[in-house]
Amino acid sequence: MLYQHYSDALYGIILRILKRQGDSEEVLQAVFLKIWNNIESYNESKATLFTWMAQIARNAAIDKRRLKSFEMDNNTSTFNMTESELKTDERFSGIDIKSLIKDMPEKYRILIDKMFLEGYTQQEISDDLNIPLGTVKTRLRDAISQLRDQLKDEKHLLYMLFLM
Amino acid sequence: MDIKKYIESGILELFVLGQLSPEEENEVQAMQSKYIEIQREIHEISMGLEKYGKLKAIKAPPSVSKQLFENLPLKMFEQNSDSDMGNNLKSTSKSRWNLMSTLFALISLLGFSLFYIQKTENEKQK
Repeated sequence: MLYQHYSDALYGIILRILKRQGDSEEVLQAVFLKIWNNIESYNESKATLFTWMAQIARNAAIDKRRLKSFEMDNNTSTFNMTESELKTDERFSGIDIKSLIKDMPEKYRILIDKMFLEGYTQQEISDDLNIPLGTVKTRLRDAISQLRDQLKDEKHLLYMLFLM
Repeated sequence: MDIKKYIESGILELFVLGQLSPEEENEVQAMQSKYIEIQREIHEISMGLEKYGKLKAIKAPPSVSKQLFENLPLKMFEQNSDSDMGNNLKSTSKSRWNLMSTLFALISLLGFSLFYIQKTENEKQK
């Protein structure tokens, strides 16, 4: 049940970090084992179930990437899946959700992708994008605020459709 | 404490992303148990990110779930330490002993009741 509900979203995170299918499958398995073995340590006052699991997935994938990079003597050329290869699962992409991404400015989308899906730290983003740390923080807040607003709109739309 | 300013500082987003130091994390946890507005804000940030995570989901290959469920009992067994297994064996034999003791007590009680009833009947007949 837990696997069916969350595996695709967690696999999306892992594959974006590793960009290698075989390693990502291995990490997804390890992540679910870790979740099952540590479910008692999940603290709902600290995180929702999904954000807790996403954190486990990000950390496991980043650890694997470090290990692989070390093994390949920092040759990252094999981490070469492109964004078009990392296709999202259409099951989740209803019309309203698609518009959510379309309406989001690129500078916000990049930030959420890098920090939430790829596990970059705010310092790494600041260095990569050459923007001050304070700007990263403010922009992240604005980006997530926009996500939340879109989420509210989507709820209203679903409610209206339900009434019709 | 200016709650609005605290919320707008961006610290809660970093908390949800797991990017705070342990000290900062403890501070946010203390704040959320004190102020319902902060608790609500953290929940909404998490829900927004959950929605985004699902939107960016990639179908996991079916082979992963197959392998996972095939290996799950074995792997979970392997992760138990020897001492845990020893404890499990001890606790199994202990629970068996408890069951035997309970059964013995019930049979004794039943036997004693039958003996008492029969004795009472015999006395009545006399």
